[in-house]
Amino acid sequence: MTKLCLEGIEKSYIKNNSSKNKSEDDFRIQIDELLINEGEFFGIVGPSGCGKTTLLKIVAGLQEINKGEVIIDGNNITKISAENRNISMVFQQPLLFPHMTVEENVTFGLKMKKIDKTERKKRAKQILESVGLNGYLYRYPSELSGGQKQRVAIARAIAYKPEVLLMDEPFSSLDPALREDMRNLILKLHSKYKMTTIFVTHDREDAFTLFDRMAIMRGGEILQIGSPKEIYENPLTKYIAGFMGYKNIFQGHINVNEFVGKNVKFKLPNQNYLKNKSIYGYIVIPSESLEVNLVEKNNQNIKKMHQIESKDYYAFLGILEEVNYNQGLLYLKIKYNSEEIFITQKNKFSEDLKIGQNILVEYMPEKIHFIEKKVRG
Amino acid sequence: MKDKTTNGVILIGIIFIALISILPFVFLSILSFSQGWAWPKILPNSLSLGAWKYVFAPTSGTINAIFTSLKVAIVVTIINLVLAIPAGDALGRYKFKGKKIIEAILLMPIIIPPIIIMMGMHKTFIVFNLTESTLGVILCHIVPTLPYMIRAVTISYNQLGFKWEEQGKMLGAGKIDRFFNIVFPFLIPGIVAGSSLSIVISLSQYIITVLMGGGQVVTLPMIMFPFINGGNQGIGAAYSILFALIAVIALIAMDLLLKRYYNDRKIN
Ligand SMILES: Nc1ncnc2c1ncn2[C@@H]1O[C@H](COP(=O)(O)OP(=O)(O)OP(=O)(O)O)[C@@H](O)[C@H]1O
Ligand SMILES: [Mg+2]
Repeated sequence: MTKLCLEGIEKSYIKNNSSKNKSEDDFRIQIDELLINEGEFFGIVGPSGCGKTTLLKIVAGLQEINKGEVIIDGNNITKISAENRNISMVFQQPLLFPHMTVEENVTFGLKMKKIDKTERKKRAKQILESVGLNGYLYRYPSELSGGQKQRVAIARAIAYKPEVLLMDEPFSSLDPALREDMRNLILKLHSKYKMTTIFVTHDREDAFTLFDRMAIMRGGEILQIGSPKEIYENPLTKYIAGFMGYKNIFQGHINVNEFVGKNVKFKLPNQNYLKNKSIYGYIVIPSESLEVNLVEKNNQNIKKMHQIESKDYYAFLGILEEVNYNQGLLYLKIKYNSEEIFITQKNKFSEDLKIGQNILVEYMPEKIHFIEKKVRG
Repeated sequence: MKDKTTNGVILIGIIFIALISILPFVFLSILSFSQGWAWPKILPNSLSLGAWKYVFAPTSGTINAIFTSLKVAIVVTIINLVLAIPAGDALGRYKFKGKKIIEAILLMPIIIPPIIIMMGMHKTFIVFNLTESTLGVILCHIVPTLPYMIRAVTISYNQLGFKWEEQGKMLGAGKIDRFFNIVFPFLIPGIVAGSSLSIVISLSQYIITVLMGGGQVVTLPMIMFPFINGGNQGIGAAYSILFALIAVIALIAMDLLLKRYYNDRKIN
């Protein structure tokens, strides 16, 4: 069931310092349609300055819009002020009111809703327990660590029982180890309280662990919406592929049974639908779909070289440029003609790999993804 | 080594400043308790409580003057606060056309001697029958004090920004709730600073009070001035000390009051 719907949203900031050459400096956000389901954990990812915070503020009612509608549960709330929308937001900084105790902070929203004191105290206790902070009721924010502050901020937002919970990079000021704890906490809270959540991040790991679905944004527009897995497996543009962490992206022509790039060539299974035409675009090769099985020792590999030419053996020869061992995985950088190719695989070699070695890289053609380059009108 | 020398310098500086500010009070104290103390004698001829007795004699009207002074200063400060909060909000957080000009106009009374503004006000006040009344004096005291209050509150608002209130909105707090629960506690340091100046400046107004009060509104400086200005210097000294004490007590009381408000919020 749809919980939140954004329709035909448009908002532009007019920067008053350079009023002459407008359109150039102005930032403009435009969202034709965005539907978020009841209870969904929805992510918004994109580079800095793409309008993520602005989008959240539009939903929250903190940012006025030029055009469009915000609808919750079928009710148009575009004209309703932020404090009456029953939407809660966790900002990048915890913003705990410094003159109030943890308990007062957590129950502030309930107090505004005129819920009586005993009930407020009860709920504060429950919520603080679920964020692992029981016993902190009477502390002041200045007596908490950064991670604890952000937990209280999250508790405060949840205690409010909002229709929609918005989170704007709530972990970005925390160190990586803490981020993982917080991720688990958020997941636990989400499954417990089942609130519809929109979460902004530019951390890919956040995206894969947290989101049911997500939207990729750039320059004020949404480029693609889908589950993290769908988007990873089927990025619509080269930009999205890069954003999802793909490193092996090549430009060139796809013919019936091969891809021909500037410096590289990959054999492909028959692309019969192409019917002797070729399409122009990109191929994306996941680094985990490549594998080095053979390194050059004496003349051993020459035999395999014959195999390379055979029709259904998918491999190419390269030179090892870099090796990184990291937690049992090998991260390899390989030179294939003059292009760099990145590989992630299990370490199954008994000896150390040597830089400059000739190696044979096998690939899985069914894992290669095409992105047709569309000429923009 | 270096730290020790800098510490020494700082210590000497503090002692120096303390001496400069305490010394006049020492002299004033001696003066107020003495009879016939004149240059070049190092100590007065004899001690006497005469000056202090006069100051607190019912006929001198000192107690009434103190109450009038405090009443005027407190009401002036409250009015200033009510005016400065919206003004400080506008100047501290919003951009609008003509902001610089409005800022300049608001600060004008600090730069232009208030007496000049007072001349104009006097004419107007006669029309409204406000001269020779406490209300008239109060309104006049706003002129030299309001700019300081606005300045202090503006800085507080400027540092506050919008983020705290945005957080408040996201917890369902309307405008009034946001002001009292979120904004006001952040303004307290600015309000303390502005109110202190407002009280002290109001307490020490003389010419404005004389001009507008027409001798009918008797504040402490008004009964004190004739003695300092050539009358009995012992009494003048006693009044000066009294005046300083009242100013200090007023400041401490105000500070405690605001801090207590803040702490009460902390506890309940
Ligand atoms: N109040 C404002 N007035 C004018 N321009 C603004 C304002 N707020 C944001 N912008 C501009 O709008 C664009 C989008 O800002 P926004 O804060 O939404 O980005 P973001 O995606 O949240 O970035 P980040 O990841 O760095 O937080 C930026 O180019 C920014 O400069
Ligand atoms: Mg942002």
